[in-house]
Amino acid sequence: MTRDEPQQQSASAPRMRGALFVTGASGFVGRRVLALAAARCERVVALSRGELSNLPANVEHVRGDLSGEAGWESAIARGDTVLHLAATTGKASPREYERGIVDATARLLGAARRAGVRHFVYVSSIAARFADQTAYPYARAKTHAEVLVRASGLPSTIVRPTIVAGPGSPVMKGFLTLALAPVTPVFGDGQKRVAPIHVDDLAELLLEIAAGEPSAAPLELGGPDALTLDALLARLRAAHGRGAARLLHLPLAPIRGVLAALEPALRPLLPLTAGQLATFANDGLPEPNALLSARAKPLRSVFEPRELATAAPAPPLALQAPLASEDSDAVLRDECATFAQHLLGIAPTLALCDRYVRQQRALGLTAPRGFEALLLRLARRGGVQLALADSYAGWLARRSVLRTKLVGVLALLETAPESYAAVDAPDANAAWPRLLLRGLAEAATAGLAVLLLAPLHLLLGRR
Amino acid sequence: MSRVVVIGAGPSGLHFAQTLLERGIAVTLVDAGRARAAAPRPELDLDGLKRELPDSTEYFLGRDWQALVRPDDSDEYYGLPPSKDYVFESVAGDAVRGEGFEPLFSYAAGGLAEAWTGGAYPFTEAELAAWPIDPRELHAAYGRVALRIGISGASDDDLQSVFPAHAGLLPPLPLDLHGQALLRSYQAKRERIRERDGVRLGYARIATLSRALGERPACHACGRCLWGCPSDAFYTPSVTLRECLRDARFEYRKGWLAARVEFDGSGRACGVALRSLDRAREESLPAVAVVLAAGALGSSRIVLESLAHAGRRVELSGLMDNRQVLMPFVNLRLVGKRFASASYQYHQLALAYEPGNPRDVAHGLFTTLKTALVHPIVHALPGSLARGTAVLRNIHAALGLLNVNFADERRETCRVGLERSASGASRLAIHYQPDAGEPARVANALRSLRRMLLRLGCVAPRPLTRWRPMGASVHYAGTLPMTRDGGPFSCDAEGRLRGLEGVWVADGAGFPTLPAKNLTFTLMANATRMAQRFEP
Repeated sequence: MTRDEPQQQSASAPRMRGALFVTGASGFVGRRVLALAAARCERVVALSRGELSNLPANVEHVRGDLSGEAGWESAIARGDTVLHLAATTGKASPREYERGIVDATARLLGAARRAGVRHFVYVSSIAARFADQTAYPYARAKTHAEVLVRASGLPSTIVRPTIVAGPGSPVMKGFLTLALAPVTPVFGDGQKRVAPIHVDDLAELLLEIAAGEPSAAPLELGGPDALTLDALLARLRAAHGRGAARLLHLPLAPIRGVLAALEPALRPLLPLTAGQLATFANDGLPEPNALLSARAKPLRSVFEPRELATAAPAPPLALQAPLASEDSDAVLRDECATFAQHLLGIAPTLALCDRYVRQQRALGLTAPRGFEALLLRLARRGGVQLALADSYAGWLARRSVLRTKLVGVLALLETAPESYAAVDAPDANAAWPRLLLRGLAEAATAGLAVLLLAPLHLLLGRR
Repeated sequence: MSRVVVIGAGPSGLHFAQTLLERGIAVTLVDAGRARAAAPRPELDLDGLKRELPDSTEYFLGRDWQALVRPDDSDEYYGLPPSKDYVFESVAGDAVRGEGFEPLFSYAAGGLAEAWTGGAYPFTEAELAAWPIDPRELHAAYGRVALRIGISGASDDDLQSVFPAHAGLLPPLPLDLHGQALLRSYQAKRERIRERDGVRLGYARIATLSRALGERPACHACGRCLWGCPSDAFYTPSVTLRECLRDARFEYRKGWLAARVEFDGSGRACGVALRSLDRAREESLPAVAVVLAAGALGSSRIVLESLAHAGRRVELSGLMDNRQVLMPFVNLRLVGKRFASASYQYHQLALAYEPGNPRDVAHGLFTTLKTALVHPIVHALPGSLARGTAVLRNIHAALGLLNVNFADERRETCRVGLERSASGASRLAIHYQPDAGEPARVANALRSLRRMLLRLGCVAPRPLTRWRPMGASVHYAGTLPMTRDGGPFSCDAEGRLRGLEGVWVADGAGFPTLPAKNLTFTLMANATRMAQRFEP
């Protein structure tokens, strides 16, 4: 990298020529980028799958999916700058990462080449250069997409942010949950380092990069504080006025092994993925670069209380169910039908479901939060997930909202004309062998349920 | 004209009143008098109710879901049937604070016994040793009450020494299938169970008619006992109230609470200060004699309020109650069998546990749990609720509940007094402390009983055994005891309260001891005995 590459720009730099075409515009970073870009660019074209509201006049919203129909392609024009933020994140299968990151980038590159864009900025991830990408399909997909960008021949820059912090940061929310737990599990030795960058700083830097000239070398972007994971968790805890953290270092390899083995079948149930543990296995400090070292304005600290304020201790992965009292009648009726099917294998009448709605409103169960909410949400999916949730509740959460709801359904079934007989009917024959089988089935279900849910229970707490 | 005023229409007050009426003495009975609603569709059996009531879930679970036993707020195995809510409904101003004691009160016509399970067990001579009365007199009264209300049971089985025979005993009801199985198993292993476990088993004594008595028909096994017998084959004191109401000399002052006894210049009781249930009106009812029968706690409250009104603050000690332990069990031979919900629901078999020390005697009642709601039992089982439901379907016929009662004795540490609550109102304060030996005594008994059940082919899982809190059995007694020597706030054998002239105590407050048995039958018999000797 030479000293004048990339060209340095300040906030007062001349406006970008042509339009800025932003993908992933509704995401965590995308929303901040849009807010800044509207003020700094002549014209912005924002691509997203979902709605975008309250857009300034110079922002054009194009609804579309990089992996879907090609209607969005015509929105890219000669001389535009592309800022490619969109990516599949969270819990997804390797195939989904492949589609959402590699395939999508390939299509965007093709469209950009056809239009003849001025600058293609690819927002990758520090994980793309992790040495240890074990069971981390997201990181492998990012690495692959970087190769495509470099091979495209387009004037391009690859950017690799580290952990992105700031209000609403999903990653920081996860760390915060760990940090505020009574005992904080740390996977591995906790000595790997990170340098979280504030989302507003990142958005500003991305716009500077986009407005500037392409860079041959990837730009790694981190925040002002470089610290170990142990230190990060301790600082998050301190920022919330809590006492010293009790860190519990857990062996990384076996946990990753178990998670990786379970993932194909049980991905939606798992609290975290093997891939997400890569942060604990790799140093995540950015390589120094001219852009950061020459920057006059200091980067924000991510530990200011206001930056963490909205990242309150909430369950990660958006598994929080709405409050019971706020559930609509339809949700409760569905819940009743699902639970009746589960308990007795019968479909309840509409009248019974309506009574259940009345019952639930009358009981006024306190709003389930944290682990209880997760349990309820799993249960509402019915099938295996309900069986696991019910079993777990029967051993380790006997006073949970879920169990109270199941009892409420059972009480209705045993007193209603169409179902009371079914509650009492013994199996036609072989009662003892059947009881034995049920015992074994319970042991198996309970074992699996505890294995999967107990760590979450510890992590999220009781209420 | 001043009359004899009886306070409280529970088993004691009603049998006291009825006996006076039989003697030709006019009686005024003061009572809050909450009445039970008529049982719906008396011709239907239990399943019929579930099938045919327009909203069966509301009948069984209650308009406000009060019979729904939630896992997050209750340890009970029964939800109280909504049809019996009126028995425990409170009234304004009955504030109470219990320490080590969870008291229940009733303002129902018939009292707490409107929700009883019918166990009618005469005390033995040994159990009456500390009573200042002639046991023969009480036994004659047992017979007299039995002729009035109808009691079924055997007098020739292994329990005859524990349950003395008396007049008016009807043959036992036919046993349900589970009862038959238990009795057969017992007969096969009788010697071993008696010797090794110290247990004897036999027919229960129950206030349920096996033959018609007057207008009341014999039990026709509709299975609705718990939900309210629709035919009066099952006795509750409101039956006696109805009989009293036919007598022209009986005056029923319904809708009133007795606030306190009023005294004349010479210190003799001359009336009762009444308060309407809504506390809107007060009235003074003149009386030639005041008979307290508001229940041990209710009568204690009236005595304390009367003394407080005269500026005397005292505490009454010696409160007793039977500790109850519930042992659910499964009869392994009946797993997978069907059962008839149209069968008698309450206990039909009883047992006596008699280890060496008579103090340690326990009394057990077998209920075979056919028509109680099952959801409280299912959620007490370990594991998932779906599997619990499947398991219950197969063990329902095999399920039983042994309700074990333990004796109590008067102790200074168990007291009842008045105190001011934060709002300045007067409230009853109850302190109860079990004796130090109780845990070991109960644990020993439970060990023997569990072993005995195993010999009968029944498993009683230890985690499901529950000690109910003191106060739960509602066998309250002992705060104004009958004694020979005449200490303060005690009664003589006729129930005259010493220190308050013109006041009689006709209920459990007068019991000097509390054997392990249900006391209701003795409440009725003792009140009858006193009323026979009553001279105002």
